[in-house]
Amino acid sequence: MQDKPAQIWICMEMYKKAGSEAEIRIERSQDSREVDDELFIRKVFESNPEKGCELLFRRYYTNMCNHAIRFVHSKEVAEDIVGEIFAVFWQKKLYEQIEISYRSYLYKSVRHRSYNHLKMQVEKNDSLESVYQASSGEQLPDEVLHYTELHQKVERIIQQLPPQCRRAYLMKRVEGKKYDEIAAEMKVSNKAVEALVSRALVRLRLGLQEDWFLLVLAGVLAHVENGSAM
Amino acid sequence: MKRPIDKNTLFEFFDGKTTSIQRKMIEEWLQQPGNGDLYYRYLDEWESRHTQFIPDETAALEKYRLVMVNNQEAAAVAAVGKIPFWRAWLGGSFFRLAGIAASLLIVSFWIWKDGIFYRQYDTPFGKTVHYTLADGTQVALNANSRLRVPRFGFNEDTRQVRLEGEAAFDVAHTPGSSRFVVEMDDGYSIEVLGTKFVAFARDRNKRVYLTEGKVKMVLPEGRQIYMKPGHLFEATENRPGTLSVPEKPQQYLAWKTHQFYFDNTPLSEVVRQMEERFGVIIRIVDPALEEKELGGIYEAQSPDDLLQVLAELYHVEISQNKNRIELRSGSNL
Repeated sequence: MQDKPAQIWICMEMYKKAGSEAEIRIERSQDSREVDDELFIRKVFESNPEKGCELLFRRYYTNMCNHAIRFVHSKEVAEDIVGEIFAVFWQKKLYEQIEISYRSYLYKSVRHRSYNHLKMQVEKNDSLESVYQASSGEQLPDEVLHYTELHQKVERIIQQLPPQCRRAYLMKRVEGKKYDEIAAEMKVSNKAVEALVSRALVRLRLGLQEDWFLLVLAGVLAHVENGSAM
Repeated sequence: MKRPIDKNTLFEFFDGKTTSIQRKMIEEWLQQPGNGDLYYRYLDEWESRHTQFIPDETAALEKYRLVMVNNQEAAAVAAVGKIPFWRAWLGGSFFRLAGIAASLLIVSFWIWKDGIFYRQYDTPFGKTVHYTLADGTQVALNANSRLRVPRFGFNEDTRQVRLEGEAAFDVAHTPGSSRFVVEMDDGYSIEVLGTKFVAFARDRNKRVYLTEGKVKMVLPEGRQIYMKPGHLFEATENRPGTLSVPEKPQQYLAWKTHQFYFDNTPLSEVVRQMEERFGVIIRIVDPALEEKELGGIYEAQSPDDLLQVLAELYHVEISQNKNRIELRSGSNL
């Protein structure tokens, strides 16, 4: 039992090496399609799906959490979202259906789920049907880019908040501190902190609502997990 | 020839530094096969260079391993059941037999360990019982319900209980802000920090009504929904789950005070609720009676209390043989 982690570690090293070689090849030739830096993981999945999942987890977990937090602004929610993506990946044996790359699937899922979370926060009327509205089909290039633009927009809105307001918001949401902790740190009353945080949320809501992105995307969202997992 | 899109272009896009013309170029570039994947490859690389926080990967991986192991154990139990009996005895080599013995040992430990590791609260029919758990959480357990609480480590990282039936929770906040998780059948669970809610988990459906605080519902296949006070979550076998804001939430809380809450509820449903709470079997003999509707709040400690009401309201004739009750339209109707 004891040599198991070591074994995995070696696999990881090999994988990383394979990855860096692939990178070099990309720099040299523009034809990237021939490069398959996930080849090693793919091979592992053939013989041992559990180890395959673990390798993917080690490779992408931190980066995916970092991507999710750009949308959801909460460490806890970001980790939940990514954890669940990996759980579903194992439970539904999605690794058997991956055709293009694991990475594409994982990133699409993390964007989709983060988006859904953000949407629920932003939409005041709590219309939750859309969470289940599983439209199928592939993502259009335009949509792929919209996701990036969305988290940039979120960031801009937060940057433009008054400093006190931003500070309270980040402590509450990102660091998950309690109102009285923030109140003590900022030397204001609990009520004031609550007001600051809710003002930040209102700004975020207004800022995103006026953005056409949510309107456009609501209709055409490709549900990556139900559709062809690629 | 256009300048090809390279890593730098995409990194600038991720940084939010591209012009709208460049964006158009990236969009066209994305349409070519293979570039979609390259986009995510660069995105991943960009994330590596723009780290915002370091999650506890080791702890998360431990959790993930548990998810994978639990799934496999379920599969192993199923596999043991599938081996034909005669083959296990006749065709088996020593190793196969040893293997089977080992799996049986694991399976039986799996079954016994519930008794060793968990404390079980059961409520009889017709009785609502109040418990206080080790962490100070108040639980009102409705009739015909079961709550399982771990004997060890309950107060630590995660407070995890399992519910079959219906219960109202008033979850105590712990100094370490540990999560309180209520697991239900079919892959549903509720995660909370400190809050008040009513959970209903029987075969026919799952229902959660939140009175205070905030909870996260985890649905089968890892979907999740965040609930706010006043929200009602409902899931049936056919529908994975929806949220709504009920106008009359009393109906979800009535049982706590030994009441039934009906609002134009058909008798077939009235009868079903009585069966669940009192453990009786009620048959409505006349189909016409099933469609009659009942409204109002009724206090009932036993089935008789409510049957009395039905008899008076609808001239129902009641015949009872131990736990079996039959309802038919009275002759004077």
